[in-house]
Amino acid sequence: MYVAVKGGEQAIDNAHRLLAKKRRGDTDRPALEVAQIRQQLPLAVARVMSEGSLYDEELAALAIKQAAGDLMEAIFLLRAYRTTLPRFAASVPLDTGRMQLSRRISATFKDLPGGQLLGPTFDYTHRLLDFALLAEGEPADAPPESNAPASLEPCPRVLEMLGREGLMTPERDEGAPVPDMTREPLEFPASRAQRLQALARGDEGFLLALGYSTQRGYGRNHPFAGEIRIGVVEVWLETPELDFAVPLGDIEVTECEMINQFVGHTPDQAQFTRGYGLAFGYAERKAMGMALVDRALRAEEYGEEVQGPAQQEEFVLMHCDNVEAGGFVSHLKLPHYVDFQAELELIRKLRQPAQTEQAEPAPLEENRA
Amino acid sequence: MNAIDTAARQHWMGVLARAGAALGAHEARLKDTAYQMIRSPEIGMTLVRGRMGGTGAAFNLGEMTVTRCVVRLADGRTGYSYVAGRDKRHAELAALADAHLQGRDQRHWQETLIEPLAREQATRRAAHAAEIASTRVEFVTLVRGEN
Amino acid sequence: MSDAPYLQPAFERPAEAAQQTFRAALRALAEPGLARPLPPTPTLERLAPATYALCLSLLDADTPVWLAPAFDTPVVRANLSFHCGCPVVERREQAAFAVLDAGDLADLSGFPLGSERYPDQSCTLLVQLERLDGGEPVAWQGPGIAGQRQVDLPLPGHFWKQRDLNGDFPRGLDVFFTAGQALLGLPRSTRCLAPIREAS
Repeated sequence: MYVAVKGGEQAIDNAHRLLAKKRRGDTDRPALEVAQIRQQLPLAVARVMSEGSLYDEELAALAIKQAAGDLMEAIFLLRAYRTTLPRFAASVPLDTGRMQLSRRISATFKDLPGGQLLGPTFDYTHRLLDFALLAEGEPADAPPESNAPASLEPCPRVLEMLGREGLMTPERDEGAPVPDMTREPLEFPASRAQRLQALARGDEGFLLALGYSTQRGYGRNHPFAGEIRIGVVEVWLETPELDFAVPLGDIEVTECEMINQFVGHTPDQAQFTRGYGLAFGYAERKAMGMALVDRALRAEEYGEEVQGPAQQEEFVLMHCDNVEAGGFVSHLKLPHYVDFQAELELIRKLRQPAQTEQAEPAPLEENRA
Repeated sequence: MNAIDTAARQHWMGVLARAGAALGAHEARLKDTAYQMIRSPEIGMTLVRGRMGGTGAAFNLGEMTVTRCVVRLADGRTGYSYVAGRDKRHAELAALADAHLQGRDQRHWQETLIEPLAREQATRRAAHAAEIASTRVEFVTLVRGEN
Repeated sequence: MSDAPYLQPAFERPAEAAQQTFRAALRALAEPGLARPLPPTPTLERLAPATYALCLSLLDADTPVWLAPAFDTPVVRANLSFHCGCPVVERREQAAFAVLDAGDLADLSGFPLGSERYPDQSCTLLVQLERLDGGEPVAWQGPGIAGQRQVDLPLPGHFWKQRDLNGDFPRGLDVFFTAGQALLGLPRSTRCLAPIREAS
């Protein structure tokens, strides 16, 4: 039961002022600009956009600044803001095949049309702190040398190449209406479209841990990173007021397609299965975690035994949202004074008979008194 | 009013949507006409959809901010804009440009506005592609058990 | 593109006007029977400023609207779809909102009344009148009214019967009456006594 408490306005105001001071840090240092965060912390911005479920780099950067770098708090801020905006329409589904690539790799084929494009990546770095960055000024690294081919070749989708051989379970668009968990609450069992929407805004750490758990045996499904693409796609909008689709600009997305263990009623029908991840911005780990969990949640579809948490739809979908999780855990900080008094009385009563029988010492409080 | 080729209009709307601050340089001449706001610049969202496996059924990925605007010139031509982000000035100028481009001066606006912007955007894209191409690797498999 | 020639400006200051209208609509239902002014709004063909203001404030992509034949014109359809993004539906059963005039009150059947569990899933009626007074006085009672309130909307007598037929509290229809720039609310929770006839 909740019982309202009041009071403390002055203390609360002061606490917020202190927070502002903490956020600002030493005023001898110049204040951080939102534009700097946007430009120089792009991966933090990507995470806040993905899990905040709103693509707007400037607002995500502002949220990070306001939240003093607490990304979950920033995600919360963005989620709250998005509820104030009208939704004009839904986009035409993104055509990630026409992405302007910044990165494209496959762990399943060494040589593939279009090649392996590393792009900007932490892979192959040595994870040694770069003390050059600690020194003032720009790092000494020169911009990339371009001695390689000056342009990109077409990069067909890796899984489609398997699909053409009939080795990959196909994806089909039956044109079914797209459920929206932000308008109609989730009910179980959920559809794959609902699951993917929930995962797309789900917590990266949670999805990563669940994905990892499948690799360690809690619902194993033998994943290979079939293709990871990062880049910019054009968004097209279908609006009833114009009788044609309108291009409204570009957004950066990360896509991961996992190739997983095969299924089939008879050996000659065996096909690989797939898991899919898609996230706003440069968000490779998020997309990989999402793809692993998407595949794990298809266990029932493929008649697999549900053994691990990553395969349990209700468990995953109800706990992957960090705004919900953070909110419910945080509420424990709210005054529970009356609740707790009731518990305290109960426990004292429970102990009463034992105390009289064995002549135990008096209750704690009275001892102190 | 000429019959407007949809593909051409989609192309210029795409170029205008991507132009952002670059449209500011053309503000004076875009606004050098009498016009009425049918819908003042308005900030909202588009629900962005993806496809399962990149090619399958649609699902909702998240929203993105969009600003839209509709203007009408004195001769009745109506210009629309839908542009990513929250820049109201950008949306208004893009809608004005869309209206101008539907008129008799279409060729003029194509040559002095759309084509230069499109060239600039293509140059940027090519430079980016060249940078990414410089990170293309050829992995060599080292066969186990040889030698 | 086909709709473009029909389009007209709506609220001059959309955010403020929509908020003021929404506030007025809330108060109209909270204090049934009191007329409230709405912010200045253009007319849209036969839609009076108050009716159009309510449409612009309450309708969006999630609220299918049903238009009585008198209002169902290409211009109204184009502008509602453009400014509100709302679907215009053909059947009353699909409507979250309906726009009617005094001539449509002889039959209010077919509009969703909500369910016992979700009474909010009912249709809200926007009924446009010539004026909000001058009719036979009716005594209104219920939440938001201290004692009784005499309201003299110029309504045909069959309206009250239709309202009784299409309501089984908590199921029922909430009504906004509009005229010119003014608004008056009649929620389903208000009890209306039969028109008072002057004893002669």
